[in-house]
Amino acid sequence: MRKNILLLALLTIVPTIAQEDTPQQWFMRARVLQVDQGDIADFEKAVAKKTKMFNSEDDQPRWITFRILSGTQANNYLRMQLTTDISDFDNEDIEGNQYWEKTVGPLHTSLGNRYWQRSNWASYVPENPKQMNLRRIIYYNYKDEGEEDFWRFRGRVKRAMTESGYASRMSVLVCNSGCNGNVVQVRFHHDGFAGQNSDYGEPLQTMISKYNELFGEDAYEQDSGKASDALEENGRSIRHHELIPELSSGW
Amino acid sequence: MRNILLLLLTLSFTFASSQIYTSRTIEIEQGQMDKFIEAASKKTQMFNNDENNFAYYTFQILSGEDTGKIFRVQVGTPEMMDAGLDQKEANYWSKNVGPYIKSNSAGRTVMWWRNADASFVPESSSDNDLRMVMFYNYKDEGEVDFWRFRERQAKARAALGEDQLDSAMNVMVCSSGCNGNWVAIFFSYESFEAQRNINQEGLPKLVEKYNEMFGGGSYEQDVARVEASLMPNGRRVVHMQLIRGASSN
Repeated sequence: MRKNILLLALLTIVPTIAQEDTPQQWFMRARVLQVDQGDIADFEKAVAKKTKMFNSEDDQPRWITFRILSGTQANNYLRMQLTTDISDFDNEDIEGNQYWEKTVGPLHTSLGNRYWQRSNWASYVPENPKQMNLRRIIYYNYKDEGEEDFWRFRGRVKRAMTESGYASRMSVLVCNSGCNGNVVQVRFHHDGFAGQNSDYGEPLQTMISKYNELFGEDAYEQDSGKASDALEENGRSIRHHELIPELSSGW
Repeated sequence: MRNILLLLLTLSFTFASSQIYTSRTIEIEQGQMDKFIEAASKKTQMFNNDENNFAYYTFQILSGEDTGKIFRVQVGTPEMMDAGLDQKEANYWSKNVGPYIKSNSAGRTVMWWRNADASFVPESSSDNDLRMVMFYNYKDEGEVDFWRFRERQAKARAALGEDQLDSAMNVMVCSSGCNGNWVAIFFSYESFEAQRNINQEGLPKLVEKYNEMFGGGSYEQDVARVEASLMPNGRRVVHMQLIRGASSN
């Protein structure tokens, strides 16, 4: 990771001068919650109640919950705290956590914890974004020497989305802690599976055309090829998650 | 993976027109397989023979680390996926089939799409219940070589005419739930004996047709390129048996 310092500089400095749509820095921590099939109804009910009590006001920690739809953790859950102030991770919500342990704790097993930071520089938010509950998430693990190629493509995709007026969000999260290697997740927001179909039709083609218009003929294919070459073996994994609004803080 | 984006574009068009196949592995309680099959069959026949609802296909795994478990595949449109399972149906499964299940989702849940250009299903193969499933994990840079062979084989099979093999070939591509590039190819056979006969008598005709269509020695060359395109241990073979009663018609 010899260029990680450069990357961190990019992620922390460039966004403040280049990002117009989301000037805040976003930090996340997320863990998988494994739940027995027989406990699902009770688990969801308990999480919804806890979230409503401790995570529904502006001055309370913000947590969102996803149902995992594919992979080895399918049918389990991912719970993610979001904040724009990293010091929130220093100030634990003691009362909320105690309530969680008492009511939700017996209904799940918590696996690991990963800290993420949103790369505003590579993330895209359309004008007037609406809440979409399906996430198609691509996890990447890139080689140290592929850093430049990987991020060139990501930055250019964001610009092509912006200039083509792409209609759905793309959030790029960089793993700051808890991962092995250079792990990044790119989260595409879709309005269900039908919405995913639509997004990967004409809007994607329009974005690619814009990309080539901006960066040169066949630039999309060339850049994406280099980004793929930048990956470790099997360095790309795709998962689908579904946001559960009832178990999450407000949008 | 120079051409991955071309593939992704292809996937995009395919997404728009195809069904989503979601597979999971089910672990059955010791000694309860017969009761599971009976209960799952009843549920499937009650709820899953309507074109407006999910179809299910159920296989018993005959080899590999999941031997003795069940491989159940849900097939539905994106709109069905968004609507989710009917609660009455889900409750029926939990109440009537659930007691025989140790784990309803053991291992990995995967979403697949069917690559029609690389698949071929002769009419004669419709009654075959045995499946040989070849799982491939290919390198990014091997994508073109991998798919060249698959699409050419489908074309060669389609051109066999009277020498047609009594074996369907359905090529499924992992779209979610895998690490890396995974493909599962489902070859159907009437039986193990039929599979052996096809390998001995039918495959040489397929190779001949392949070379006739794509050039002398092309089959061997293309196969060698596929070998080189795979990750280490990037091929595994598993046999499965379709359980017709527990599958949609």
